[in-house]
Amino acid sequence: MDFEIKKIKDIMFIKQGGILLFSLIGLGDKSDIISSFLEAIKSFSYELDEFGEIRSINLSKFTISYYCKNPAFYIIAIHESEIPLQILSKFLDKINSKFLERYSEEVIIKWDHNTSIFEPFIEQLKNEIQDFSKKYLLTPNKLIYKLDNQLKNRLFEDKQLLAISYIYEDNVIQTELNNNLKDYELQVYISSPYYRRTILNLGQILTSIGKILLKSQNLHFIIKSRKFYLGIKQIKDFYLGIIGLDYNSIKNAFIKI
Amino acid sequence: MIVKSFKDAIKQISNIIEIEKIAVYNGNKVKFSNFEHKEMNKIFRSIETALNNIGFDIECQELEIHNGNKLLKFFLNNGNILVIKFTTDQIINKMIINDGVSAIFQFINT
Repeated sequence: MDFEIKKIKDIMFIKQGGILLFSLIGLGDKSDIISSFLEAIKSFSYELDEFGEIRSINLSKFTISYYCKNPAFYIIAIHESEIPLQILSKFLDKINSKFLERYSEEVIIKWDHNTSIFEPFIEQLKNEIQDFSKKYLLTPNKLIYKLDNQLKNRLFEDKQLLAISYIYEDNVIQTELNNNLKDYELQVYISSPYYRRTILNLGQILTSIGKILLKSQNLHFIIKSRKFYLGIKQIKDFYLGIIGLDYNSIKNAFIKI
Repeated sequence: MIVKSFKDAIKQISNIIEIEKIAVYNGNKVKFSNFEHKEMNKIFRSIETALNNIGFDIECQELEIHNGNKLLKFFLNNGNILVIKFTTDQIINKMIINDGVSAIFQFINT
């Protein structure tokens, strides 16, 4: 488990009000102080604005994500900041359902501080983390790609470059938008399933055609549309999509990335 | 470029030094191809399918495949598709090539 724990440092289930039900790594005698502290942050966030199902607080070295979907308890994940919230949210949805299959809200409300009842679930949780890690994050050659901040800033110095996305074959998408992108229609397009599907479909078909007609493996594609240029390149197990207003912006971005 | 027929348009564009191969599709069948690959019909149909699946009104006009040394460029016009394989990654005689492409599309159904 050591390797997986590097990315997800801990998962805690906390009863509404701040009493720790259990923590994956075990907090010993500090558990009450930590869970009260986390409860206080949650309450404070609630005061600031409406608290959704998931909310994250970024600290310097890691992120605390709150998953609040149930009246009786909430889940906290402490993880490295590079895990996209969209992916984490799916994972927390899953473990929340698994937890509720074993323990009803009523059991949690009437809980008598006997932590041993959670032991079977903790074992299950460890397996779930391992599966999640294998699927999305942690095997060395399938690391979720994240653009280095310096490189991102350098790329977006080109005002004609509007967005950079990473699209995985299992439909996970991450997008970095240039602050310059004001076109609402284009923003909607980039966040739509059409965009993801376009990149995957064109990426796969053009890769096949390029292999046949250019007899090459290392390919990239540039599509000119009515409003913008779209660049696509396959890198390992994901497709890189770049949207720009200018042909050379796309070409230069491919050279830099 | 003065062009009198589809055949003439193909001949003239094929003479441009940076053009290695060319194929033309009229939305139904391959009208001309000097690519070694025998099933250009399938290539064009898969491009058509991919473009039909784009959805949204992005209106694809041109499509390029690069490998760093050579360029494969698809020109699209009312369901007609023309693909050119260039000997370099960058087009030098852009204006002459665009004239040739327009001429081919003009005569494609004659």
